[in-house]
Amino acid sequence: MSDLLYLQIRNDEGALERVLRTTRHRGFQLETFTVTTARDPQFFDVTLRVSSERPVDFLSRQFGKLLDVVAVSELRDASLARSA
Amino acid sequence: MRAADFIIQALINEGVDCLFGYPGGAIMPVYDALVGAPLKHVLCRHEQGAALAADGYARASGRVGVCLATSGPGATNLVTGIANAYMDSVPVVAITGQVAKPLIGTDAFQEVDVFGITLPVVKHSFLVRKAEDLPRVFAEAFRIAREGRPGPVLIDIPKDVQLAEFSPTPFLTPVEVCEPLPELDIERARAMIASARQPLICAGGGVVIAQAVAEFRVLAEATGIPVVSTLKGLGCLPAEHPQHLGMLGMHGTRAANYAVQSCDLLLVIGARFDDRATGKLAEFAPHARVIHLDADRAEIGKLRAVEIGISAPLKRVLPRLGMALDIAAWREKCAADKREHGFRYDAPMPGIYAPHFLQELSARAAKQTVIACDVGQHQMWVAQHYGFDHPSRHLTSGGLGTMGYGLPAAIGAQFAEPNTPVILVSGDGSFMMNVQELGTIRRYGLPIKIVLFDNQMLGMVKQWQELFFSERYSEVDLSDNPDFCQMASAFEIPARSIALRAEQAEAIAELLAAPGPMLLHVRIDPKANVWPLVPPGANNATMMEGVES
Ligand SMILES: Cc1ncc(C[n+]2csc(CCOP(=O)(O)OP(=O)(O)O)c2C)c(N)n1
Repeated sequence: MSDLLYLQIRNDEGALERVLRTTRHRGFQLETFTVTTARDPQFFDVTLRVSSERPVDFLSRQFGKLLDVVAVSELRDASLARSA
Repeated sequence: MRAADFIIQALINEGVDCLFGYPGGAIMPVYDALVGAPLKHVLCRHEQGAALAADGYARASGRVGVCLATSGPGATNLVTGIANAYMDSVPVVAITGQVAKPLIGTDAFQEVDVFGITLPVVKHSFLVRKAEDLPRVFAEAFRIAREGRPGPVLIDIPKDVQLAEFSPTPFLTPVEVCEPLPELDIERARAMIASARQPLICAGGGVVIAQAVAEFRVLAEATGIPVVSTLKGLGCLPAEHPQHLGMLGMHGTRAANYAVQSCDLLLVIGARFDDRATGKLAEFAPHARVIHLDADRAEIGKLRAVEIGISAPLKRVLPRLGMALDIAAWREKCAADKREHGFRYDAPMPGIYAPHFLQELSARAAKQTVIACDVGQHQMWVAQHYGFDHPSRHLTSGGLGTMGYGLPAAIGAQFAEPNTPVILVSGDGSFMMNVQELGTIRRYGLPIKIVLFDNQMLGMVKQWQELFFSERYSEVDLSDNPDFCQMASAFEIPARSIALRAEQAEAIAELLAAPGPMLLHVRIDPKANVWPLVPPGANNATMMEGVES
């Protein structure tokens, strides 16, 4: 089973590295990862699709602790997320 | 002003009175700015020592500890200390020099990507690319280190940034907003506590981190709920308190582990279900509903599903949970277990029995004494047999289990509290890991007392090889130890060696009365083990017990 997450991240030194290492270290495989600063160069809009034996909540709470991460949401309906 | 001078000013403004470090090329401008500054710099003899001293300083004082190192090897030497602070949620700010900006990424002399190396073990980190950012970075770093669940913050500063001239504009950190408490959860928690028949409190290191020991004691006494502690929660209730059942987990007391296995409500306060505390997680507290209070939202439900999770300052939540309960029968059952399974100190042997030594040390040392320890059997004996009155008096490397923690941590604590007695309890293996810090004791004339339990073994590893690897001993023999007393005297530290129980009382008296530092070398039986022991993978009710001859 895979889950889709959306993050808004401040464009700070190392912010994306923190997100990627947290994903790996907490036991999640990355299936897709898209990043853009198109909306506002000070922020990354990140969507990632991950899979794991652990509930996705385990990861999103860890993302919530990263100081560069401004917002985390779990997108439950994948089709909705794609059209967004 | 010169950025390096600003850095010193920023530290002073943050209330830093003392920092621990070691100079080198890429941090030279900051060391230059230190000359004549009203700030004490403690020169440790290894950057790991400096980082662990900052940790000890922070734990003893509740303030942010600061360490300073150069780029490259200076920075990599800090890593273990930073990781130690991370695992135990200790507020530390680590400042490293970096090669000048144009050299970053060119594999310059003493360039390492310490920002990258430390990502997994910091709460947050900064690489300062322009001097104008320094006011914000320093203000944020200190706030982040101490706020919420504390942790280490790294500030990496290229040398050219340290040398830059700039006009600092003050940065004001946002005032911490006082969020409303989760009233509904508090009400539900109250109802759950009120209806429990066999409630139990598990106290963790989060209680002292939140500076809520007083509130914790009021709650425990108001409800009368029996209390077990994690390694870092020891002292939340004074050891001799009738409600205190002792430490739970792998080397916990029978009373504590039995209580956990039979309680119907477990109120976990500032603890995180570490595997050394829970044993086999699936069989931990099998009959209990769980209420979990923790500053870190991500800890709630991480390992054990909970009925109620509250992530709010303990100082404000704990007073809301008090109530009188009618649980006399349960309390009596817990108290009876405690009486029946208390530790015994009467092993009939002429040699020194470390648990008995520690019990006697505990009885004789002044109440406010800080005990720092290393990692291994002696660390568990300290946890079991030294009666802590307050968790800030016990400096132990819990999460990382860092051998070599004790000596630098004791040094940090002594700087935090120059007038408080500080005792290091170490093992012959651990002591050698940061033994160079004896030079720091000598340089600053610190009156630290050292108890060195010498079993000529890496005792804890030996115990596991004996019990779980069919007595196949592999690389645990330390029978070629140096003469520790001679070593101490090379640093002008008086020393004495004892091996007989008959010498114990008088040697402890001599140690405690020594006006300056002293090392007491205590020979103990290499065969001694730590009991009880919950074998790895078993549930906490499965405690192995040995006999000391
Ligand atoms: C830096 C580090 N390396 C290795 C270990 C693994 N380890 C845990 S306890 C121990 C033995 C400690 O020996 P000693 O300090 O003499 O204490 P004792 O167990 O004999 O009381 C070892 C090697 C560790 N915890 N930390």
